[in-house]
Amino acid sequence: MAIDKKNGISYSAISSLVGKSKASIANVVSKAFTAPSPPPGTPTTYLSVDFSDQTYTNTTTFPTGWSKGSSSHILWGSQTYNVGANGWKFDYNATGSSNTGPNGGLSGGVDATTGTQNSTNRYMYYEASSTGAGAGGVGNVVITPQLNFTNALSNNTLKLTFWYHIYGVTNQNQDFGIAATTSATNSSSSVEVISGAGFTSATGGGLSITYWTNDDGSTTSSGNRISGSQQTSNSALWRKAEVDLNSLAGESSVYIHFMLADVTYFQSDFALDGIKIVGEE
Amino acid sequence: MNCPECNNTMSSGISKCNIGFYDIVDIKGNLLMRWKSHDIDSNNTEIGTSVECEYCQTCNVVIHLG
Repeated sequence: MAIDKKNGISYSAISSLVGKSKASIANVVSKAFTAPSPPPGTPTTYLSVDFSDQTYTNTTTFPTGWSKGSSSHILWGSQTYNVGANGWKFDYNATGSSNTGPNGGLSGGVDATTGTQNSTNRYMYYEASSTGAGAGGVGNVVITPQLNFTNALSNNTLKLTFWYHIYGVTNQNQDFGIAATTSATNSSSSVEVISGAGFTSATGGGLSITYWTNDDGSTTSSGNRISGSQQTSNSALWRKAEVDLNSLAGESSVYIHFMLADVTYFQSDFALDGIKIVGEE
Repeated sequence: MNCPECNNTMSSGISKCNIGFYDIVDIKGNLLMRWKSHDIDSNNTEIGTSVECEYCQTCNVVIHLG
């Protein structure tokens, strides 16, 4: 049988040769020439910390590469932080002040699936007592080590997860946000990695956070701030939050800034634990 | 409630912010355990505030019941 060099051979011709229906042959040909799905990327962990390596009670010594805002740190615009001796630090069991803070760190570390507390586990928290906030309620930030997402795939796997405990009878005013900038000393939009990722005020700018609004994650809320008390007791379970970092894939120098602002009362202790950034390369 | 560190039964008390220290006291204000120090000014609104708690004197662990 002659084969037309331009148009090839028809399904009818093949059908007559092999004794199969045209539809059957078309199905075989379709499967043979369908482009294969790209192989899944390699799971990669960019950050994983549960603060269990912090061995001193009430210490202000941070894990390697982490830092907290200095007196010249820019929060937004020209606003520098305003905090005294306290601010971000570490502890286990209760935080000291009455009716605020957790009774222990997250049980299960970065891979926890429930927010069970363990009073012997350490956690990072914002100590709101006394000079923790300062007049005007401006807060402070804690900053991750420099992160390199150059080889991260933009396939919606790059994300930040963490667990939070925000309990305080009178901490209805504080605002917690997360920024992504190219500087460890500037959280503002002037050095944001992507548009909208830097802070523009206590309540403006920053990445969108999706966070549990109950203890099992069956209900969530989203926004660029978590505001006011979330848990209802010291012993209430930790809750999980997630930030989509897909837009940061390909960026070579990223610092994630965790900011607590508008703190005006001592019952505003704000705790974080089980922080992880994962993606694929 | 048992202590998560030593598993002994924890005692009931009141966790109170006194000048210089967070203390565990009884209902009459008698000192039961000096828990941790702080640098809060003596005229700060937190001084004198308290909450019921369970505590382990051996392990220095305090669970707030707030």
